Amino acid sequence: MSRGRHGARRALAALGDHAILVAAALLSALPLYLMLVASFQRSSDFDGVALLPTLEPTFDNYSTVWGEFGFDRMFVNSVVLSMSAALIATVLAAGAAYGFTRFRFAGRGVLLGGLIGMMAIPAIVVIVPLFIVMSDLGLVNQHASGIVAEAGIQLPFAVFLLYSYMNDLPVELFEAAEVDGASRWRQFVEIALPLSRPALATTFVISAIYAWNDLLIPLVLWQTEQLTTLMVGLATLGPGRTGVRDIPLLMAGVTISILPLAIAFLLGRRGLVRGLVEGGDR
Amino acid sequence: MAAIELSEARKTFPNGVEALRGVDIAVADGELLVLVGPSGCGKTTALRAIAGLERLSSGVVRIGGEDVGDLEPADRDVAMVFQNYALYPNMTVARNIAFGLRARGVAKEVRERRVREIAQVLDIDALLDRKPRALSGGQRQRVAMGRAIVRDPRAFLMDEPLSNLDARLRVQMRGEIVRIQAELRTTTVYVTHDQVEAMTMGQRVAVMNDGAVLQCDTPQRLYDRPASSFVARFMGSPPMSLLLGRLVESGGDLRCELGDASLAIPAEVLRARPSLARFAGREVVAGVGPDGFRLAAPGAAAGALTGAVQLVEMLGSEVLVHVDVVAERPSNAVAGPPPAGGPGGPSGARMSGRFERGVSALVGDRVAVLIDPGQLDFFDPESGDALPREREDASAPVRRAAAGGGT
Amino acid sequence: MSGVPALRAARAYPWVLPALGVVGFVLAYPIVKVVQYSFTDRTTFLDGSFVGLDNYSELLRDEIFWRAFENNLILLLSVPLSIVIALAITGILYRGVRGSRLYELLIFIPFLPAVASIAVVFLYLLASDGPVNEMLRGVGADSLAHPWLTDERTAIWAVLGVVLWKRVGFTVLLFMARMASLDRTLFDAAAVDGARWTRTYWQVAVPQLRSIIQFAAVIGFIEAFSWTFAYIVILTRGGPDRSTFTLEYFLYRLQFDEQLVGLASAVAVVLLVAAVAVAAYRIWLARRETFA
Repeated sequence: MSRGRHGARRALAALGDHAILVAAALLSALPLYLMLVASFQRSSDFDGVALLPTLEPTFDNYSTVWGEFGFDRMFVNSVVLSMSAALIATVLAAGAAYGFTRFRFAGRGVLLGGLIGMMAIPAIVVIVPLFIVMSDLGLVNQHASGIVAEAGIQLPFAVFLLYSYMNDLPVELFEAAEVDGASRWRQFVEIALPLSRPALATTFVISAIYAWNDLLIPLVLWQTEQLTTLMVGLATLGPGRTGVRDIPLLMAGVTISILPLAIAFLLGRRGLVRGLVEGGDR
Repeated sequence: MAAIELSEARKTFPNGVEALRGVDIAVADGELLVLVGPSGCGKTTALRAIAGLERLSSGVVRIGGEDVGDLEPADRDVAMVFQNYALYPNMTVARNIAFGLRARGVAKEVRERRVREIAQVLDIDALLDRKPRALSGGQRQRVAMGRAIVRDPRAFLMDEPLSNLDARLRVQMRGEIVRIQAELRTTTVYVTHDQVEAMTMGQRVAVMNDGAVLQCDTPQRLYDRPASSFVARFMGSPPMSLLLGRLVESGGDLRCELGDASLAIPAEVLRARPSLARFAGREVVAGVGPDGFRLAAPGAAAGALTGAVQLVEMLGSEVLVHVDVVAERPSNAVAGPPPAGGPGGPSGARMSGRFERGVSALVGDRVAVLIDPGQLDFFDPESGDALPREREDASAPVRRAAAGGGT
Repeated sequence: MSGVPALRAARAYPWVLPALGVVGFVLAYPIVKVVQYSFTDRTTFLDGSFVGLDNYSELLRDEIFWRAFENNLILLLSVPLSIVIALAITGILYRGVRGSRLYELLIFIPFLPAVASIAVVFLYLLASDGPVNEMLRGVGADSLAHPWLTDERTAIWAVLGVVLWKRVGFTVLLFMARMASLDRTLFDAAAVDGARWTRTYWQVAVPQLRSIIQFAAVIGFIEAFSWTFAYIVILTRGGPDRSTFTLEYFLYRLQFDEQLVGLASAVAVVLLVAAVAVAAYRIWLARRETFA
């Protein structure tokens, strides 16, 4: 029944509310909108700004940046880095979480606390010695260095997530299995892992996303052109590379870098958001 | 101080639930009206509609004669006490109480004085600097009351404020609320699901079920003259017993047949309820209050109801006996869901009676149930409505204490 | 449980050792080394020797170090600023205007892309001939149009703007989630008591958000270590004329441009101390919560 809101005063307030929200939403969406618009513009027609979508959109920028500028290779490198690091981090963290929940041993508390405490250490603090060590081992510009380093950065948070989850699993399940004669390994594979599926998925996805988005480690450890990842490519392409002031090209490149995450977001919003919120905005 | 009125109030929630189906409630200025009913009957929705926390789908809310439908809760000048007290956790008791005054721009000295006055009246002045989490349930309840009283509003709206207290405290607070209300003479609408509370507190009580008001009357009249079978079985402890029977004419008299028993209907009952004559030869629901029957040994009287004792409750000053009798039970719509079967096995209808201490009955005993026909009440077997009476005769209640004790 | 403690421990090790090993190699060991290096004059090519606190005193005398430190603090303003802005937006969003779901989604979008990706986009937006300036000129505010990222006066503040843009959405999400779990009858009570929503929100709701606000602050400080590097690398390269250096970027340049391992490590130790301080604060907060 349309009595409407409580009178005119409320209507005015609602208008004000809307105005602020519209402003905030526009502000939030505008940069990405402009990015997309620019990415479909013909480079030759571009003069610094494209506020409205062109009537003659082109995919040229995408194909150029993909082929000529090596974004295809960079994309692969990003995939390799993020998937491998996420896999290693998840597997190792799962094992460690299991070990910490199901065993009692001297130093357990300290080791667990220390491991999770490492979440507080940002990569920039350790990048110098890390680089030196990798350099001494001859691993700079090898896949191993980037992947191991990235996995190492993601591990503390991964252990935190998986330990919290596994610790909440009912002890009785494991005790029953123990009484039934199942080995620790079997308990891990047949009870802990299957029951932890949501946490494992979350951990993997979160680690993969952070590794995908990371700039510092691939910048330092994967310096050759062969190994450049998308983020590194953007960082050096944009401001660095002479002659590349080609905005539409650049924006196409950025869009490619964002794409996987955008798709993941559209597919699995809730869980993704929840997990990312716990990890924070890096 | 103001009268409150709900006219044809209807409220349907977005999920399709019809909480109010045309409710009419009128509270006189200074009166304490209780809204009582089972969970989901709409009583809380009605209260919130008065407060402005829910907007009616249709219908009018009037406070002090004016239509307040467009006013926000903040502007209606009513105070509300919530079931969980809703005390602001980050504020001290003093600030909690003063919150409404601050919101209205009352000067600081005036505020502080009023808060101290109210705190003294409610005996919480020692708690003024504490935070809610450091208070007991009873103390929190008083603070909630203080917050409502200090504003001197036009009306108090209370949503089951005592449900979270232990039994003893509840009884004590009931008395205090009634006393305070009587002193302040502030119009009050009080919601509860506890019919005992309703009966002891309300000047008038409105019984609600399924979004409608079934009867709004003084507690005594609700008990003596229930307007429907729902009211009859909801109010009173134990409530009225309902049996399905048949009215037959026999030799110029009207008799009510219940199970094997055949009761002659006394002339005064017929006079009070002329509509009974129309039910001759038809089924009818008979209601018997807990004081309306006696128990006797089986076979003690010819044509009595037979039954088996299911439950005996010794209350010290009296005894409650629940008997499953060999008679038909009205439909669930009229009599409610059937009680769980006792040791005697599920059977016809259950009757609950109140007897003096000293009555001895054991579970499983077979007994004869002797009903006083003068205390029978009658209801339509389809709708559950009480059969209409000729005239409201306040001096002749249908139910009265049975003459003599039980077996 | 049966077995000798040492034996039991041995059974646990295979499970935890791999993770411990990697973390030790990537994080723990480097921490030790970085502290060690900070006391030497090591370079990439020369092992160098112990020099005590020389690196630190050199830093303290270096105006770039202090400029960087100052810039870090400026960028850290994004934490309290984003919290205040997010609180304001949450207050409006929570009220539930029509379409608030859509608003919530749009406001959250900046959170998703990588810092590097976003930085490149803003490189375009904030260019002298870019959309921001164009729009300013479009509404007649010509004088406001700036070379945002290349003007020494505005550069660091432009970066702060970008940081804010990216952070607010995430913070709003945090606050909205916590608001949803608050007791709604409190707001009803305040409404009946005579308070308008603004008063109710700031005096009743926000005090209850205290723990999530602290969480947002701590997270904000911790993450700052990561993004101050990425934004500066892309948006300004530390310029113009090293006026937008941050400690993280300073570290990076010292190591990878000037090969000064010792000095870079000293800066790293400064950051390490800050990181540990934030972590300690977080633990202290958590302790207080449980014993409240």
